[in-house]
Formats: sequence, C-alpha cells, structure tokens
Amino acid sequence: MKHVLLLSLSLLAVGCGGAPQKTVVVYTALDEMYSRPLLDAFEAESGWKVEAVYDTEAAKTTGLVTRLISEAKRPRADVFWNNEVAQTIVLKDKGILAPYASPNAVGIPGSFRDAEGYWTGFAARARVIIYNTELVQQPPASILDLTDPQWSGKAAIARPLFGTTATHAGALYALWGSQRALQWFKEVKANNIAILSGNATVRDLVAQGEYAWGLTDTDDANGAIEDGLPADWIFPDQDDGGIGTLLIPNTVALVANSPNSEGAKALIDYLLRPETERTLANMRSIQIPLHPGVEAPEKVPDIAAMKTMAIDFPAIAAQMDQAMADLREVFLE
Amino acid sequence: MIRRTAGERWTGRLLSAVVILLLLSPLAAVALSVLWSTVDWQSLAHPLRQAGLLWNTAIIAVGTAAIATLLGGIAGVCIGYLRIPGRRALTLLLCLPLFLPPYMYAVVWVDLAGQDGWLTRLVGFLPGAPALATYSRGAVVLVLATAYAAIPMLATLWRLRRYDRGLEEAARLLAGPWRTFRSITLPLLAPALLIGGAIAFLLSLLNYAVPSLLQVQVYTVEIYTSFNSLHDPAAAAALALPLVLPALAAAGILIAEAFRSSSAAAAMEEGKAARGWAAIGGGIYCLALVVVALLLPCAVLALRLGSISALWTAWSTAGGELVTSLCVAAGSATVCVLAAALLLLLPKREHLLLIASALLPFLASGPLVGVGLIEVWNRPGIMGAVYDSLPIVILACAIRFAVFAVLAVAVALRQHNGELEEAAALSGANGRYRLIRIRLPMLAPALFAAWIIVAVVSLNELDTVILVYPPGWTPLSVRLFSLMHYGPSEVVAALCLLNMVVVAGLLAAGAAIHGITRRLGDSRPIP
Repeated sequence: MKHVLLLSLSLLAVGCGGAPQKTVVVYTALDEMYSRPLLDAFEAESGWKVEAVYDTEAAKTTGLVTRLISEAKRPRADVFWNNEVAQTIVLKDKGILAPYASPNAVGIPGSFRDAEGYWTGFAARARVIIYNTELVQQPPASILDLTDPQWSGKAAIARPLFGTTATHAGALYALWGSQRALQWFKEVKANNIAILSGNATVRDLVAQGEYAWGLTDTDDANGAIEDGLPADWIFPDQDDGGIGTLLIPNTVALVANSPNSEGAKALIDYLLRPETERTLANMRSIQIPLHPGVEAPEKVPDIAAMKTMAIDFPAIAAQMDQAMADLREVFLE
Repeated sequence: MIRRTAGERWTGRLLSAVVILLLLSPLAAVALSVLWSTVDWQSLAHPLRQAGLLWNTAIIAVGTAAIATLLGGIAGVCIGYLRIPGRRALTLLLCLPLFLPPYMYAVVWVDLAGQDGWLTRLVGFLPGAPALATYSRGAVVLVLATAYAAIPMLATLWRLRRYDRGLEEAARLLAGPWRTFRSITLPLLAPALLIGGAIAFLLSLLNYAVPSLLQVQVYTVEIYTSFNSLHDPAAAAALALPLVLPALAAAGILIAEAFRSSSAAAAMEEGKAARGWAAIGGGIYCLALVVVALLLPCAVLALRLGSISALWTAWSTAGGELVTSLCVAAGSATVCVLAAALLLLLPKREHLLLIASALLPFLASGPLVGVGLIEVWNRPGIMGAVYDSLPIVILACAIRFAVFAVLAVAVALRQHNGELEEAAALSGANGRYRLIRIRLPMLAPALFAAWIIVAVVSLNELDTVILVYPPGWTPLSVRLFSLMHYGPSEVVAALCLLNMVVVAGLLAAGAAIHGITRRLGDSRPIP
C-alpha cells in the first residue's frame, strides 16, 4: 500500500513539472494526422517546443472553443488553429483573440482574412456531395436534393451543430434568411435524412452503402477515394442558378493575453507560409491553397474552376447563434 | 463497537472538510454560474424536447437495468448458488467487460451490425427476421447491458455469501429445489438484484459516449451539445436537472440497501455444488455470456486488427497516452483511497456527509464538472500550477469517482468486527496503535479493492478529462474516442485491445493481491 502511495506521489511530482520555458501551446481543430507533422516541422526549424491539444471528431472545433472561452481569464493556449472559420469569429466577438498581422498573410486574398487582423485563413476545404458509385449512377447536383422524396432515408449529413456542417448551416442562414433556412432543415429532417456524428462518419457510411450519398468535406471525400472505396464526389450547386459550394478555410489566430505571444507569432507566421499550404495540399486532406501560385497536385480543386457561395464569413458568424439555437430544436427533439 | 479517540475524530473532521471542499467546489462554481446567467427555461422546458429526451433516456436506463439484472443475476446464481466448476475463472472473465469503456462495445456493435457486418448477414439468412437497427435505442440498451451485466452478478455473489442457509435447508425438507429457490432463495436475493439494477440504471442514465456514438438523443448528449455548440454551461447545467431526481433515487436505494445488507455477517458455510443438468445448464449459460461479452468483442477487434504489426503502430501512435492514463489512474485511485480512509477516523453517523459529497460529482454530468474545475483551478499561483499540469486530470478523476472508494470503505466498516479493537483497548493499546495495527489491516482488502476499482474507471474516463487535460498529457480515452469517430480502424482495434490487456492485468494483479490482503485482514466473526 505505501509503495503504491510513493509511486503515485512521485508520478504526481513528475506531472507537476509544467511546461518548459520555450513552449508554444496550440489548440488545433485540424485532424492530428495533418496538423502534427507541421507542428513537428515547426519545432525542428524554430527551436520552439510545441504542445498541442487536439479536439475530438464528435465535438469538432466547438469543444476547443468552449475550452478557450472557459479559460479566458487565464489562457493556457497561445495559438488557436481552427479547421473552419465561423467559430474563430465567435471567439473574436467574445474578446478571446488578439490582432496580429503576420507578414506571411499578405498574399492571401482579403476575403479570407479578418479586416482587423484577428484571424487569417489558409488551406481551405470545400463542402461536397459524396456518393456511392455502386448505388448511384446520376448523383444529385444540389444540396436541395436532401428534401427530394426520392432520397428519403437514403442520404446523410453530419449533425449541423458542430464543425464545418455547422458553418455550412450558418452560411445557409446568412444566404437565405433564418426563416427559409430553418424551414429547409425541418424538411430535411422530415425527409428522413440520417443525421450522423461527423463528416467522417458520413463518408464511411456512404462508402459502405448504408446511404446513397451525403454531404461532407473535400478532405473526407478524398480519403474515401484514396482508400479505394466505391465513392466519388462532386461540388454541389454549380449550375447557373445554383448557390455554389461553401469554401471553408483553416484559420489561425493569436489568443489574447497568451502566456507566450512571441512563440505564438512565430508559429502563426510558419503556418501562413505558402510552403505550409503546399504541404497540406499534398496530404490526403488535399487542402486548397489560398496563396496564389502554390503548386498543388492535380486532384486538388482549383478555386478558379468552382462556383462558391457569395457570402462573407462575418455574415456567417453573425448567424451562428440563431442557427445553432434553431437547429438544436430541430435535431434534438 | 469501534472506539475512536477525540483526536481521531477531530482530525477526521478537519481533513474531511478539506476533501468535501475539493469535491463540491467545481459543482458550486457551476451552480453559481447558473444563478448569475439567464437561462432560456422556456426553450429548455419545451414539452416536445423534454418528452423526446425523457422517453429515450428512460427506455435506455430502465432497459439496461432490467436486461443487465437478468443476465448478471442468472450468472450470479449459476456461479454462487449452483457453484458450477471453474467459477473463479468465470467470475474474473465476466467482470472484465465492466472495466472496459462501454464505447468500445459500441464500436464492436457497429462493426457487427453495420451494412456488411456478420450479424447483419446472419440475420439476413433468417426468413422473416427484421433488419438490425445499428443506430437505435435498442442497440444502446444491448451495448450497455453487456457492459454492466457483471454488476448484478457481483451483487448476487456478495449476497449469496451473506444469507442464512438455514431457511433453505428447512424448506428443502418439505419442498423440491426449484420451489425452494423460487420461494426462499429468490426473495433473499432480491435486495442484491435491486442494488445491481440500481447501479446499472445509474451508470446508463449518466453515460454519454455510447448514445453519442449510436446517435440516440438522451439528456447526456443534449447537455454535451448545449455545452459545446452553444457555449452555454448554464443551459447545460439546467438540462442536467431532470437527471438529478432519478439518479438520486437510484443512489439512495443503492446506499440504503448496501448498508442494510452489509450488517449481515458472512455465511458460516458455503452451499454445496449443484450436479447434473443444473450444473451443466449453468456452466453453458456462463460460458455463453463470456463468449458474447468478452470473446466476441475480442475476436471482432482482433479481426479488425489485420496484423500484429498494428499493435506496434498503435503503441507508437498512442503509447504515450496509455502511460499518461496509467499515471492518472494510479494517482486518482491513491487520492480516492486516502479520502475514503478518513472514514476510519469518523464515527459511522458522520459518514453520510462524506458519502453524499462524493456522490454528487459522480451524478453530475462530466462536462459540468470539467467546467467547474476550470473555473476553480485556472487561477494564478499554485492553483494555476496544478491546472497547467497532470494533477488536474488526476483531480478530475478523483472527484468523479471518489464515491466508489468512499462507499466501499463505508460498507466494509459496517461489516467490520470491533471485538478485536475492544480487546486491544482493554489490554492498554492506544488509539493510534488500534488504528494502524488493527483497523487499517482489517480494512486493507476493502481499501485495495477500492483502489483497483477507481484506477480502472479512471483509466476509461472521458467526459470530464476531455475539457481539462493539459497540452502534452492527452489521456488514452480522449485519443481513442476521437479515433472512434472515424469508424472502426486497425489503430482503434489495437488500442482497444491494448486497453483490455492493461485492464485485465490490473484486475488480475488486484485479485491476487486482494486474496493476500484478505488472508492478512480477515474480519470473520470469532465463533
């Protein structure tokens, strides 16, 4: 018994060591398999030690956001690296972030940067329709097909309260107005569309044939293709009257009153380099570079060739509270 | 009666006050935030919302309790009453699922009952059989009942060692074995089944991970959603209120019955082993349960593994997380046992406050305890130093699971025979001597059992630690749960199997050492 006590106390002592001096703490919502190699490379190049907290797939982004809000009085994180944009703007509105204009942000288009310098977008993903090639010969062309009775019970989306699906919901609220958007989601639910725990689950179940098609992101869709699964994807709503697809950048931001702002800025500068975007484009996630002229494999979508939603990110963020409150009612009854 | 000195009592009270403060401060912080916030009660109390959540939650909690009690109760009777051969090994094997994370069973279920799963294909061959609903309330009940069946089994075994067999023997003179069992034994076992069912009810009522993975909307999922998607701890706390009453009721039944039953002395003699068809049937039943609850999940995970090298990949991917979790488990178990040991210093009538204080954080939703911990501990100075390092995770687990240690010691104290202490006091032994040389060794088995239980449940804790773990100290449960949402994969299967091996190792070591400590501190009544 006393040996157990001694062992535990020594382990406690070890655990109380805390972080070494030159440490940057980053909360990142981007999947660890993509973000860790970049953080390791930054460590090797800069000499800063990086401690990362990753989010779970089920609470994509929002778990980290809640943590940042709860820790606001005494932040633990230096950098917030989000895999989408709406929740980053929520944090800005709550005063959790501090402005930092990175010199490497200059090449990124203005629509992907905060006007006041609180966040910068890079390496984007797009919302896509993924479909099972064995079940579907002619895939649906629009997200509006989610309310088409012919697809009743045969399609799936991720729960629109987390991650990029939540951002997509916010975008529809901003584009259509809250009334029409809410009505549409109610019709989606009434059409027995499966509401799954995440985009990866949508991909898996569509590829397995549980559902004919679903909404997910380019990184998840590409994963299914690289795994040799019977799946393919298209950009939705690309015709003349279509609303276009939503392009969602990663965003990086400096946490206000962070313990190590110097290291934080170094990490932000590193992440905003064109080389970082090239690395992410060459990964399985095929993230779309926003810096002009970044070389990317052929399978990486070209922004110029796709029709994107005509909506700006602050407008999306402004709708998030309303959208989340409404959709919680719709999807949790 | 155990005599405690004034010094012991006041030391116990002082230290208990500190422990109670640690246990309740996170919840107090959350309660204050609810009072100071504006909660949209109208929206939260919407009849449709509440009806749906209530229905799902009730079906899952009651269904799990009923099925787990049936499965585990029968196993307990086979092992403890029929005394079938190999009962010790069967008991250990059937206990193992209890200490594995229930969400692991959810992953196995999805694998088996998915589009191309074995079970789906098997059911497809049966004419007229309905299709399996992979994501459904029934699936959640099945998964949780499998995970918790060992609880009623253990309660039954515990009760079987403590009831008077004289009644049975008298009844056998007049009636056959089945009638005796039905009319005498079963009513005597009823309290144990009630205890086991109450625990299974409580655990399934508060479970988040399985309903989340199987996409069933229950209160715990709603609380997590409110918390994470709306960043509204106050609303999340308000949503936890409907769980309080049934949870308290179940906990009340459990504690009252446990205390009432603990006063019964261990039986003087054990029953005879059954023979013939009863023994064969009992053995087949228990083996079938082992296959379903343990071997089948292992087989599914092993097949998903693909190759042995996946184990090495999993170790290199998450070996650090496993070590972190082991440190947390050891640390929290030690803290909980130290807290529970304070009961040795307190009179029995003062135990209730510590028990109630330990119970509340367990009944509260995990994320709420996490938010409360951030509120209390994320401050400058020494508290911040704790918050920024591994001890905050140890503290989170200790706060959540102290109730197991406290209850185990409280029940053991009620069984404790004070005659030895009285004899020692009459011989001139002082209070310190009696505490260290008599009371502590006699209660060592209970303390050790409490350590093992808290260590194992801390190993699998997710709901609270996901919010407070510091950078660089990711627990295995967080890693595993995150990977699980990408679907069953080789790495997930390997990590689940590694987790199983670690838990099995802990339990086996615990059983061996428990046997030794029991022999050292046997508190059977002196004839």
